[in-house]
Amino acid sequence: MRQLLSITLTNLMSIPRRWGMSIVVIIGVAGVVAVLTSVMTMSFGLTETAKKSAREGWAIILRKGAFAESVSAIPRDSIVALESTPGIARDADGELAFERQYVTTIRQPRSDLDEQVMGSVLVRGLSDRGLAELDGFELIEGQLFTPGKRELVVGVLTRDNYQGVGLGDEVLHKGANWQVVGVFRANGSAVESEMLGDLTAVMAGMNSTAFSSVRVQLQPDVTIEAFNESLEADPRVKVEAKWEADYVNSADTGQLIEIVAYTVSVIMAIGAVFGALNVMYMAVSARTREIATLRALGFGGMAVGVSVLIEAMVLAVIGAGVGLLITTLLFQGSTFTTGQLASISTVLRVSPEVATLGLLWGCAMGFIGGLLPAVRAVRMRIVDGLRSEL
Amino acid sequence: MKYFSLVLAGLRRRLLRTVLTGVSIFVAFVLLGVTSGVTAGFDQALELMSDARLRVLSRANIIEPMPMAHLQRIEQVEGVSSVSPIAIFPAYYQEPINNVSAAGLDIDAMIGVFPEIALSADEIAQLKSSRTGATVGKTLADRYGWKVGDRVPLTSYFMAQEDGSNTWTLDIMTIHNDDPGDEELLAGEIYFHYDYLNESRSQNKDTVNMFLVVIDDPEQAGVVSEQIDALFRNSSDETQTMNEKQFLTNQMRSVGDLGTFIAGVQFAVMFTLLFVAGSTMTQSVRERTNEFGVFKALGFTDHQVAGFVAGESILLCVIAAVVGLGLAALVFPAIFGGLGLGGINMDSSVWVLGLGTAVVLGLAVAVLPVSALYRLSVVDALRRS
Repeated sequence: MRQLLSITLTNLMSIPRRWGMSIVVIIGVAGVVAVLTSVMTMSFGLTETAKKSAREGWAIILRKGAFAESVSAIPRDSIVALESTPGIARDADGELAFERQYVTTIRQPRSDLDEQVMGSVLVRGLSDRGLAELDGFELIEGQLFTPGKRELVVGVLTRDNYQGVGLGDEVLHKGANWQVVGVFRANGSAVESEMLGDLTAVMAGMNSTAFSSVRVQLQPDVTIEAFNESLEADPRVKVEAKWEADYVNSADTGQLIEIVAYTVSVIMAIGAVFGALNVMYMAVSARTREIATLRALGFGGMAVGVSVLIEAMVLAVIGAGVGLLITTLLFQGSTFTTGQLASISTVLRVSPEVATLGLLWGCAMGFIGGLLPAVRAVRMRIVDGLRSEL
Repeated sequence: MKYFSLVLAGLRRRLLRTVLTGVSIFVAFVLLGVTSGVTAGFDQALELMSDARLRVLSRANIIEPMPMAHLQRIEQVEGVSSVSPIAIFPAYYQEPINNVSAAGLDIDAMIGVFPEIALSADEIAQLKSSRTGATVGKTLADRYGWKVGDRVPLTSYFMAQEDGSNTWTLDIMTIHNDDPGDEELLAGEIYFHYDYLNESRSQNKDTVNMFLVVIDDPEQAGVVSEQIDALFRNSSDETQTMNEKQFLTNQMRSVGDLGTFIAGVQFAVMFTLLFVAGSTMTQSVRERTNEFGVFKALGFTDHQVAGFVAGESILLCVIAAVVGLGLAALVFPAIFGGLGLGGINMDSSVWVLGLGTAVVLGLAVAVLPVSALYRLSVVDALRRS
């Protein structure tokens, strides 16, 4: 152990003298980690935002086959049937935990891009009850919409990313003017990328006779499967329910990004690991005589090998740190917006999970890059090593 | 060329190192090939889009239905030569994962605005003879093994029939775009009669999701678009009209800034991997200063020695790049197919870009050690160990 410690220390202390090649490992790992963590930051951000929008124990009911609220329709006349479905919880006042919602989208010009791009903003009509259930809802400017009036409150991220949706602006939709009367936050959830209005007013404004979704809180002992069976048994409705958490996941755009992130990073890491292998082989071969001398002096083969491995990992971890730093400098605090039917934005933040992931990748690359050269150092025959010229 | 064996000997000198370096470069070029291929592929798709064709969509949302009654009013706009209404029908075959890009449309009007749909007069007549008839693109037909005469059930993701069923049965009457020269994007779609769709569905009757408009003069695209949108302004069914290029660009940009994203990844990949490979190669030349001194002592000129070094690094880079780009070209159609845009091959410009990069990298790696070699006297070189 003491042998290991002293060799490793000597190795590490000599790195500055061999800077030229060590920096190759650092940059190689830094590049991979920077790419991986940047993309993962976007994907984690989206997933996180989506997760915050899902409430524990709540289910969303959509028309059968509808993959999103914006393409679902639940006719008014099926509401009574839905309300009588067994399994829906009641709140403290004995009221059914049952919310009707309506969503539509408006196309507005984006303000966060340099060229003219139209994006779709989701407009959600909520009942008083639905508004009260919104986690962390907080008006930061202006006031709330008045029930029955063509007024909207705008999520803080929508306000920042779109033109013409600020406090006091009028949004023209389907021939009617909607006044933006307030700006809100909602605990970083996806609602911050939406606009909210009064359910009745929004539906009337859109000439809609059908709701988009119904949200229900299920009684604690009711499973989603059992609830769906009850819905299935009722011939008056053609709907299906999902936990809000599952709905959010299936609508998650983060997944594709994650696949891209891992594919690119894995391929890139392979390239960088081969680079690291080269460097560590060089480090071992450049010190052939030194290593042989150490062995001749009585240092164990294992100690020498492990010290090579540790050196590679230390360099790789430094590289991972540099990579994380690059990601942080580039993306921390910026907003990422995506989405096909309606846009969803997330404020990017290098989370502890992403940082850990980056460091783990760094360690893994260092380990793989150092292992074979370490084995060579262990296997080296002392006599040959002492005789070698280089 | 007679010194080629010397160059090879240089590469074989430390075979393991050469292989490891080669793999780093190879990986960089696989990624370069695939990512540039994607950008080039989108550009290619964009090229195919016409300036003279406009898309009229609902201002609310790209899939929001609009009344079919818009058709007559759009046809009246000056400069419009023909209009085709399209009801998109997002559906799947058997399992929700097998998504099928389908649309209900007026076949005559569609051929009018989309001459790229390759169907003979006989085929069109055949297609029109059946109410439930459909024409399927070659790529799509091959994917599910459909043939003319098959009855194919397609299940809508969100549309329902009067009886509540979500499944429409189509009779395949013809296969379009089955010649190699035909437009490839359309070969991935299936079209059937709007009337069949409209009469049988239970909601959104007499609506479509898009009008494709051909105009007489592409220069007037902006003016005509504005006139069309003005027709419906302040109505409950406002429209937004863009030409196809604008539309696709807008879609791409609103989903995410793909171009910048890809450029960023490319830069990071190329910088990192080529730096790693380049440093190793430089180091490898430095180690051999002594050998090059021997070459010089034997009477090789500075230029010749420089040629060995540069030849070695360029050869390694080019071989690795060719293999890398080759692999990228092989996997590329699969990747693009996965993105739902089948039939696009890696653009040849990617080869030019990639090989150019390889040669430049090879030269860049050689520059430092070579310039040192020129300055080096034989005596000094031989003295180094």
